[in-house]
Amino acid sequence: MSLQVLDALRRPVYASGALGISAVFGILFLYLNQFLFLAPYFIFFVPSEGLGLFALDVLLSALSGVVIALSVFQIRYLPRLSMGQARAGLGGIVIAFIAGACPCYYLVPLLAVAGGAGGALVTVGIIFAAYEIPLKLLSVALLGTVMYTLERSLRAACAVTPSAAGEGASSPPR
Amino acid sequence: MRRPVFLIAAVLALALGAGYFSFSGSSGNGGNLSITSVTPVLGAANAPVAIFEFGDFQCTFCRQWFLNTEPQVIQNLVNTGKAKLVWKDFDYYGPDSTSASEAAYSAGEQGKFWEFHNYLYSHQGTPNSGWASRANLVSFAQSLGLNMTQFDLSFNSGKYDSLIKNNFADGQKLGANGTPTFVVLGPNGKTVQLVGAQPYSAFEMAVNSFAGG
Repeated sequence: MSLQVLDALRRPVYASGALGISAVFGILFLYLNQFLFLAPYFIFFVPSEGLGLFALDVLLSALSGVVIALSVFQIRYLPRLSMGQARAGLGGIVIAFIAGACPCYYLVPLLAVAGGAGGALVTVGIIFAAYEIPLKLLSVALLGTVMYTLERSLRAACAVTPSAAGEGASSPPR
Repeated sequence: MRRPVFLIAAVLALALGAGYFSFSGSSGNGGNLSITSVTPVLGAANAPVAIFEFGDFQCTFCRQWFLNTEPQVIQNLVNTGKAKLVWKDFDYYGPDSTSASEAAYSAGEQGKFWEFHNYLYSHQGTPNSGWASRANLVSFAQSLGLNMTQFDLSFNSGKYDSLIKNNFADGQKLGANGTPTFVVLGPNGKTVQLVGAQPYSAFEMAVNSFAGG
């Protein structure tokens, strides 16, 4: 029995969308966690104690890309079923982004921009940085849950029910 | 359909914007870099290249750099006379960061700035959790065998307040917007800025970029 989410990703537009979004998130996460340096020299560097966080960044990026692409797929082809999952998917992306984008380093530029609110932003940044790994694990769990609900709703949409059998069951076009 | 697409676009724009905001690393002139009698310097005074580190003792990425890159920089660049390492504090985590800098400078009066610097990074805890409280900093000084009468006098005098503020202002003028930020100053006054806990290869390339004028 094949997974419906994988079937959806066989469509080139969604596969490339997922890949592109994953790449954007991946580059951002690796950059913010200082595994990737863009200037003045392009350098990729993962210290041994950073391997776990690196793996988490890659997983989070991949899941983010797939969930966004599948959310769009659902909204496009299953409008009546998809809004709840789409919202959950976008919520997962936002959490993934917040968890990934808040190492201490990131908020200081905002400090300069925010003026008086800068102190509060730094405090928030420090808290996020301290709990970065648990937050990212939470994001992975949330994105995994969204993937599961997407799979279930896609499977339900593709199921042939007795009432629908005579009229032609709904199914996402391939 | 339009609303979710808008949200996705907004999230991606925010992601790219965040990357752009924190993106830096460039070349320029070292107009705001100075070494005074109290500036901690590791290496030969006449080394042709100076690597200025703008750091915060509570910053986790600074600790990463201390553990992963600094030993190679010292071994291959400082000990060979190619470069000297210069410390500039860029304290933004809070009062404990400032206290840690004051304590390190006070240790420096007894010739132990770098020992204190190493001790702080080796014992770093969660930012603002109290690991760098004034009481703990005093106990660190005791652990390093400092003359405590002299240390206490200096540590409680507030004599380094203006230096710490000036270092922060200098860092901002040079475009530092986070820690660690390194400004590699060549013999011709040109600089290469390295942002983040970059590996040794980046420092080697920066130093070598000055070779041949």
